[in-house]
Amino acid sequence: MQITILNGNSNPKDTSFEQYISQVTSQLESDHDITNIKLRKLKIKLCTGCFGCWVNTPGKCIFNDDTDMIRESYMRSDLVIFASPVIMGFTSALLKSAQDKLLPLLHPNFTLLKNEIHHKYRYKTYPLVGLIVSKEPKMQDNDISIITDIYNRIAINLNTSLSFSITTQSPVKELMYAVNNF
Amino acid sequence: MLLTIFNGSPRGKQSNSRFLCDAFMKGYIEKDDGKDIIQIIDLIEVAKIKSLRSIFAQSDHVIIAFPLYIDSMPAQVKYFFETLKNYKMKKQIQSIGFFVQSGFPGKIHSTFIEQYLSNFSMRLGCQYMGTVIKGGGESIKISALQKKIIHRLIFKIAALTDLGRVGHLLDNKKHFNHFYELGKQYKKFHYFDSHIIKKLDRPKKINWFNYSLYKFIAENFYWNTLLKRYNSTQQRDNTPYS
Repeated sequence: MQITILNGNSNPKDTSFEQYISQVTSQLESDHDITNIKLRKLKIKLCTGCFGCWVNTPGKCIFNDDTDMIRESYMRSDLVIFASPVIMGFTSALLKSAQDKLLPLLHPNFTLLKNEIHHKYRYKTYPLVGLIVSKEPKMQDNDISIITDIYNRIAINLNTSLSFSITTQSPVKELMYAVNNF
Repeated sequence: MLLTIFNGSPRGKQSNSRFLCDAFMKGYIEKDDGKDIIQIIDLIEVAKIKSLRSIFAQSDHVIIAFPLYIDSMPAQVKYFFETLKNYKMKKQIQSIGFFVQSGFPGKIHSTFIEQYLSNFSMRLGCQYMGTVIKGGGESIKISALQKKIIHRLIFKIAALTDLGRVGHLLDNKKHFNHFYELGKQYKKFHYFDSHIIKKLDRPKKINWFNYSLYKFIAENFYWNTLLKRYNSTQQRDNTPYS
């Protein structure tokens, strides 16, 4: 199985998060083909909301940055894992900057899903998505469930489902079980 | 009293969010008593975002407006939120509220981020003033794009009759009036008027008829027009990552 990990940790000094992702990567590598993308090392031009990816160069962002590689790896995968420390109650701005640039994978036209309007899907199939977050100090009780709810919505808009949402406090084997049994 | 509105749309001054903030400000300053100051700050350049937190810290009340990008705030807004982490403020911001507008009609798309925004306010120790949700926000641009008189007329009729319960989304004047009234009420009573918020919620549920009508209008009068402008109609279904 092809798996892409989008690592949204912007702080290289956060060694505990990096160690967790390294463990996950090394354990998954024995059975799967892993692409581990450290977003902080990429040049990401933030989405400007220009809709150029829909009306000017359909399917591609009009700006030349490293997100082309992210989208390519995303669409080549069977599973994409969004990974990020929680900062101010949500996943990182760095990860968000990459997610905003997934818009070219959708089509501007519309579709109706369970009485909600969504964008039509540009591709026939999309990868499943998963979420790994590390908690920050002073989190509120429902922070993780709010993050998970929002990622469930992201998954619906990306024509897929959220196959797991775990924190770095969970043993790696729990994630391995989720990946190998989805 | 200083009220600062941060516009988190990457489109800046030409954004739908900014137009709504401008309308709110007009209502707010309608009866100027000289006691209150209101300002709108655009959060566009990430490089400058850190410097804007001092403006945040000086404010008594704050409103943050943004369009929904992939089901949450645009990255710029999240960067701004992150600069506030561990930022020592000399005084406590009294209240914080939000405007969230999504391209899709219907409130459902923004209700999940609303829960986050409530927690975010608590995290900063501010009173949460609520989130004003405006669905179908891109309709502002759809109406503005119409050049032909016949199309303008059709849009006018659809808006006046609220055709299929999505027609009102084409009435820009009405949207701006709602935000103007919201600003007026906020100045007077210092809360977001729930009656106006309800008016912005419509339609609550989308059925096949609403959907078909919205789809017809947005696809034919917006996306197709833009695709023709860029001579990209033939490439509209491209799948470059297949």
